[in-house]
Amino acid sequence: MSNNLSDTEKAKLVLAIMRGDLTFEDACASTSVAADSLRNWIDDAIASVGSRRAVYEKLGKIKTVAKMFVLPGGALACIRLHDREAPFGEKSGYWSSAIQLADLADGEVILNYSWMGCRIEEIDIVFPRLCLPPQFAGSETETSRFSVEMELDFKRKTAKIRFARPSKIQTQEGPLTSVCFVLPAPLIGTVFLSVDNASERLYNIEFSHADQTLPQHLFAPET
Amino acid sequence: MKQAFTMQLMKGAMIGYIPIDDYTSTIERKSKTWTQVYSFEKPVLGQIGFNFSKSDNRLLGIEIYYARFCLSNEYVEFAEYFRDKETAEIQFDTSPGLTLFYFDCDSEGTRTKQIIYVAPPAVGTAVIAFREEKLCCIELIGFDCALEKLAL
Repeated sequence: MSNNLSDTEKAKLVLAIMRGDLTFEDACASTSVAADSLRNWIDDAIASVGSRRAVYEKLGKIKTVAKMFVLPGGALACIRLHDREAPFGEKSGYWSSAIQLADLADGEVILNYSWMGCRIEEIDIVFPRLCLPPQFAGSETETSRFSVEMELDFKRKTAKIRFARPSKIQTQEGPLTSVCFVLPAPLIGTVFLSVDNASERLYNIEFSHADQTLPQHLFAPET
Repeated sequence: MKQAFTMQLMKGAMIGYIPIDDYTSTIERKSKTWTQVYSFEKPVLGQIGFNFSKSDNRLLGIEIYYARFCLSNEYVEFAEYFRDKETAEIQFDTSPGLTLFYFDCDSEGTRTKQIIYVAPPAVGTAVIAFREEKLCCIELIGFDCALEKLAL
């Protein structure tokens, strides 16, 4: 079956897997391509441009997810961009900035930067039950775990954490308004918090210069 | 002389709030304030936020994030009620240039301190004392703070 695919079809398949749009297993099952052949195609794609990172840069954007934990009661949520296990509230390795949502919505966003490396490793959201879309309200009694959509743009070096798409906010009537926050030195870049005017809920968080301000593993996917 | 003071605990006891000065914004919607956040040093879990007035940088309130991890059990029990903005009693003492908030912290053990110099344009130094990894005192030195005016 694999011989029936044109070079363009092979490339599309490889790109879909690398973007995360299609799992390796699904690709094999849907095309009847042998797993070894598919792996070879991916290796060839990486070899042709030098590295997996270069392939990603050619891809432009990839979609991935970030882990978000809404703590009991819904007064505090924590988005972890690093891949370590640590107790909630352990912030001793961080310095922080607070961004008020001010008149746009209830709540605030706290960016926690690592002392070593100065990268945004955790994002705390204060009053998530009031400022995030209702599906992230969390539980009264226990910590709730969510996967929130994260889009990494390897060309523009931006990242976006998206809590809702336009159609998912049923009450949305008006446009979004953004709070702009310039990151403190030595970090560079800007963070935009976009709030839906009608529902007064935080809609997405966008980072410029994300390759330099978010954890390195997100933008250096070497394997 | 120590006097009773009120701290608000948000649902789940993850945020404790000490309102120092009246202002029109609610704790949830902070249109007239800006906040500085500092992390507690290891092994204490949690963070402290100082809310300042945007107009004149007065200290308006103190937030304790991850409160149920760094307050003594007396306060943590409020989490079981799951009512929002439940009030808990703390104590305060004030003299010119100095305000202290005391939290119930009877446990024996070594007392550790953390000093925080707030960033300009706000002015002040906070000395936070912990015992057995629980918050037992917040000492505010040289803040522009309404409570200090009570001592004058």
